[in-house]
Amino acid sequence: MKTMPEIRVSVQTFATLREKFPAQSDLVLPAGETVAGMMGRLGIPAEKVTIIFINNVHGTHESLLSDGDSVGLFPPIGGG
Amino acid sequence: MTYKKRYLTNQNALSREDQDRLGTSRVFVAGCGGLGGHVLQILARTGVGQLSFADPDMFAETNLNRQLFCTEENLGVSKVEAARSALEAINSEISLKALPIRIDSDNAAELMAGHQLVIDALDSIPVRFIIGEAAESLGIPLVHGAIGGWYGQVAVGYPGDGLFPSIYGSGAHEDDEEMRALGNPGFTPAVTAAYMACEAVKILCGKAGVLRRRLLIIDLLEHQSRVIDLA
Repeated sequence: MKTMPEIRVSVQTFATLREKFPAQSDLVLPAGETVAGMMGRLGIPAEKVTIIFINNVHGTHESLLSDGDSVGLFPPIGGG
Repeated sequence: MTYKKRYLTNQNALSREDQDRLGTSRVFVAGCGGLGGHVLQILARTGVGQLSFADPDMFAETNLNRQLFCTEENLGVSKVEAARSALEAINSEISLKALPIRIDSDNAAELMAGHQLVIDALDSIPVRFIIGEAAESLGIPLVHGAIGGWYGQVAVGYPGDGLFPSIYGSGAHEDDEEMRALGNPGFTPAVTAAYMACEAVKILCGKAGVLRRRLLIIDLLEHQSRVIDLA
């Protein structure tokens, strides 16, 4: 049987996302998954994330993930 | 020009030329709460020649945990008036303009005109977009800072950079109750404001290494800071 290629990524969440969606050190996803697709699988609403970084580089909801990526998800903070 | 004694310990980090440049600089600080108080204090001590600061609010007991100029004696007093008194006591040689005004889309550009730099120390994302657009129209760079709980962020935008859409996205912007639930402990504004004041001094003195189109994210819970490219 043919198996779908997989990738493994780590996910870190911050601020208001941190407790509800804890960090994942070894999340298995189908190859070709986007950040939005990954967030959907984790149940993280798209509007809760405004800053995405992939290996410390700014990403978007549409960014494609690769094996070994480290993804950070940051909600808006606006206090002063 | 002689190096004034009060600025002697800025020396070497800041050249005499830098110090002279700061002395003739005009900075507008939007918001005079947690971030704004610390930023103003540092810029006044460092020797920025003219500081204008706007905030419509009065000090309340809930500000005592973090807002530098808030004391038990000045509860109910205008934040900008309290800031002016405190800053005058720190540096009587600089010019201070206290503006007890709520910034909105009608007055932002008028308030900010004539300054070389704007500091975003606001507590509202929609108002950030207003000052961002005003700074853009006036051709003035802006230092952004925001805090929530154990987290802070700092970035610098020049006209044309589209700073706030790159940080907060281009959708509808409302101040989120969930965001406020992060709390506001005293250490986060102090740390974040120090970075903001540092960026302001670098911009005014023309130094390299400014956080332009980059976002510094400070995580005080895990002791992690990272800079991500906003391009």
